[in-house]
Amino acid sequence: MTIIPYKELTIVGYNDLLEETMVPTVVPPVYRWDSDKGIFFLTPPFDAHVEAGVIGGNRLTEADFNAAVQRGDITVFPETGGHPREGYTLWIDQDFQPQYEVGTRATENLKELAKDLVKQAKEVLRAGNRDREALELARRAQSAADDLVDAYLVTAAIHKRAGENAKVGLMQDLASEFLDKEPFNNAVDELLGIGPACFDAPVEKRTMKDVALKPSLDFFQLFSTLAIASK
Amino acid sequence: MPDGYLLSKLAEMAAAENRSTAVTAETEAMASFLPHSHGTPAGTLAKIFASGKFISKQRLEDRTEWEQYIEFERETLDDVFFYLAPIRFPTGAPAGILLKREIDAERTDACTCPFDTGALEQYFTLPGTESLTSKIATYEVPVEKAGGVLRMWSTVCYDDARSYLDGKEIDCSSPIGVTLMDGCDCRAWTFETRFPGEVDLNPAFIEAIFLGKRRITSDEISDLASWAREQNILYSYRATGNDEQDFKTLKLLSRDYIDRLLEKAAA
Repeated sequence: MTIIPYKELTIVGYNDLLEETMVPTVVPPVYRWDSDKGIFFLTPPFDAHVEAGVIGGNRLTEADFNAAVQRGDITVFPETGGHPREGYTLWIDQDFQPQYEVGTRATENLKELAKDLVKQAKEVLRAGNRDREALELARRAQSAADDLVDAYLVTAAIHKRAGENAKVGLMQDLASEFLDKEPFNNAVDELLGIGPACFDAPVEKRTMKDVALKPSLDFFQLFSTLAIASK
Repeated sequence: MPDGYLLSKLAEMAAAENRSTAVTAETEAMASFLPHSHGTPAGTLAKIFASGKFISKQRLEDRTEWEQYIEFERETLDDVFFYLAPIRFPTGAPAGILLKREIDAERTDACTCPFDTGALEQYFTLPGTESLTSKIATYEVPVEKAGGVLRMWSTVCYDDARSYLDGKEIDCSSPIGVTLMDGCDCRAWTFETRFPGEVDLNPAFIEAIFLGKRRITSDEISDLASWAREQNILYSYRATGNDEQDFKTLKLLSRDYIDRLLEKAAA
């Protein structure tokens, strides 16, 4: 089993193409590998990030890397980043800026952003006539955290208002691990102002850890050192 | 590219190492029903769907770039690649598709190789001094013969045929003389199917589509997910945010799906 040391790797981008409604979100990192045999690029899937370095990954030549970038499979940061670290997560914020921080903290921060986005989405939905805006906010929330039932509810409500029943059903399915079909539909109707007058807000079936946003300035600073510094 | 050569190599190895050649209902099911898989970012899969077909790199890329690709030397630049296996290399935010084996009868121009051709001489070697294309041609078989080879391969090369589905290294010497290089993985023993030119996404041939919930957040991906749900072929999963874990989740999801498919077929 070969371990590629972190010091030989540099974060150069991520293996995805994101649209505006798909951020903030976690992304799989792509590394440049300055090996003794030349320059390669490592794309996911990695088997593991361990203390000493990275195991696994798909090795690309520069030409194949460039082709993947052209196809849109890989997005490259304007400036080369720093070395990867064990236990860290790469995510893209709402301004398409890379963030690199300890995995648990990234999850917490994304969850808080998702809650804020879904709150905005509900307000915009209730204001009326701005369904596209509400849909985009709800999708951003879902991109940040896929376990917030309210994001699926808002999206379903907008699709229901547009008569897109297949997409309402899709949201119902995606949320089914949190909420059964009937309460889901009731909650959608309630969001649209056509539900039962005394409907109680749906209770998520799963107990989810609700953690406060912790300051992570040290990690943002770390990323600006690691990821924004040009080579 | 007949299948006889590969089958004879398997028979030789089975005799030399006293390996069982007894085919089970499980390996029969695998030979006939194991789908072709392709892993890719969700956005890419949605774009492929919107266009109605997979297209080879050669047809997508500028001619001036061709010679730099590893597929150029292997003469596989005008092919579309799948694995005859559960989803194995879902690069990027993982999504994937499985194609039914019924496509084999329609695409008789496709061929299957008992290894990932792109990994040859990158992650493993084969004996001989012939060109890469000659080595590949030696071992590839028409796709309609792939089931027969896989049947014997999974029987002879593994103590438990299901290990093939797990992507485990074979339990005997390589029948074709594979030597692993540094960092090699299951690409050295996973069957690859190559479809020349394009693969039309005929809904009749789509077995399943896998998408992370976190990525069903654009119009195109939402359209794909909605369509797949209506066809009853959508399998969504929650992403943890840890890309290693999410790749494993996708692979396990496709593996679970295939297990159920093969159990049903074997019954």
